[in-house]
Amino acid sequence: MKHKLIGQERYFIYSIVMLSVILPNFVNAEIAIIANKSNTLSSISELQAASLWLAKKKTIAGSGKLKVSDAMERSPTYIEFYNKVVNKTPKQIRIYWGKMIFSGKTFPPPKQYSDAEMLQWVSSTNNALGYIDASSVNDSVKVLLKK
Amino acid sequence: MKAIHPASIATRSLWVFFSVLLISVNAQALEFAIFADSSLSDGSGDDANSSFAVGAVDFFASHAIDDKSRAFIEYVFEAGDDGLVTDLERIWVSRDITDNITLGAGRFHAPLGFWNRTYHHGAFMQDTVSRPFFLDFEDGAAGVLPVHTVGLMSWGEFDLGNGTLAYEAALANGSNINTDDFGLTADETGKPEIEINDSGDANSDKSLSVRLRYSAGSTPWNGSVFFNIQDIAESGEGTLSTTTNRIVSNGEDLLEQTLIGFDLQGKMGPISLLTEYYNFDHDSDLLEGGSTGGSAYYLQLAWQASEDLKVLIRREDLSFDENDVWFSLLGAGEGNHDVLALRYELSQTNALKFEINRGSPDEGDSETSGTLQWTFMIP
Repeated sequence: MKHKLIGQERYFIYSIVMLSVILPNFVNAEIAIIANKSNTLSSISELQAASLWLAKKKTIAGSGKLKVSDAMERSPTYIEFYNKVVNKTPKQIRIYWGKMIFSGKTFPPPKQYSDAEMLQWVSSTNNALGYIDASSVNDSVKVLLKK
Repeated sequence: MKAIHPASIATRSLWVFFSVLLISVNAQALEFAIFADSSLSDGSGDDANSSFAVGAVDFFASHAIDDKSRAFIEYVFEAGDDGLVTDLERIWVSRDITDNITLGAGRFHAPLGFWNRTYHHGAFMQDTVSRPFFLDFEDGAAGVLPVHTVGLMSWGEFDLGNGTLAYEAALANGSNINTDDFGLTADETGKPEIEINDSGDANSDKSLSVRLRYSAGSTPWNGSVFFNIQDIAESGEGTLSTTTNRIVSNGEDLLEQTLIGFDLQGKMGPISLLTEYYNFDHDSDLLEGGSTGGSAYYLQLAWQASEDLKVLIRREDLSFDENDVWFSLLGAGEGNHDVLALRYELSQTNALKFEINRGSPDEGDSETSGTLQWTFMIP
């Protein structure tokens, strides 16, 4: 027999769906900056990380040329990283890259679709740095900073 | 084979551009933004009326095709005397060859100085309403520089420890001039302009441009030196050389051009400086005079009066030899401009600019204009 949703059930299900969409944007997750295991760096400061991800620097003393990657824009990991480490909002980052791309000075880091992809890319690329939700870290990479 | 009208090509390109844009935005794989502006101006000239104007609407997008390849497209919509004009401003694809060498092919902003490479059509990016008059686009009233280039371009940078050395080098189609228009003035049917050669070249001679930029890591000072060497070819039916008394026909060189220049940007507390200098050397037997040349510069000083308000002054100057073939062909005039400007940031993405611009040609009366511009960026 078909069961028709009554008003209260319908609003409850709608609320769950809406929360599942909205909630990830407000989760205050811990972010880990990770590096390829062959990298000589053992830690990184927030200032150094900001310089790398904004392409103002390509190296940190003694590190050799580093390659960084971003999480997908608007993902909770991306928002957390730029908020906590670079101290900028996603809109500020879009303005920054818009100006940089237009003037041809530099281009944004390549993006990884998920923490799993980021782990795979960092662990298989020399001098690679990325960031993921700290709960996703495994022993294929080393952690330079948790924030 | 049926010829495709340029307007049709532009329309199809636009469809492709916006289709890619829409698909890619959904995939979050594309970086794109828009610059635009609107202005109100008035002037002292006989023909000057108080008028509103829509400025350029500049759409640009960049896409990382893979880890090493990237594509870039820029379209500009401008309101001109003949209605709305659409320009495919830049389009290129590039590949990282090594960590320090990227090679691209397509249509670029020529690597000639800071203003051309950094601001170009991005009115929101520059602090003043106008650009220095001698940096006008090729089809503009005062265009004397080949500010676009079609061909191969390589760029990259090297970390020198205490700073960064970046380079941009272009091997591209040489510029042409159609001398069939020689002698016309801007007041008549239009002046001869520098032809960029998007889809071919009148001869096999290529243009070579190199710009080396140094950014000191520990100080807010950056600068570059650059040069461009090219032979300017005849794209019209031909013209008579007054020195050899023979016709320079289609595809032959009208002149050899060597451009050398530098730019410098810096900051001392609330005061910032921006300057560029260009030296033109021309060798030609088209007109009496032989080897001739000219020079152009601008010097802009800005005072950051408060967090949101900036006050600027700028001096611009263009001068050249009397019989110089390049400036004669382009119908250019010597003179200078003095600019006083204010920029007020309404937010991170829109600003109000006001400018008083006094142009003083060496021949003719000075003219003063005032422009209020509202410019914005959609990131």
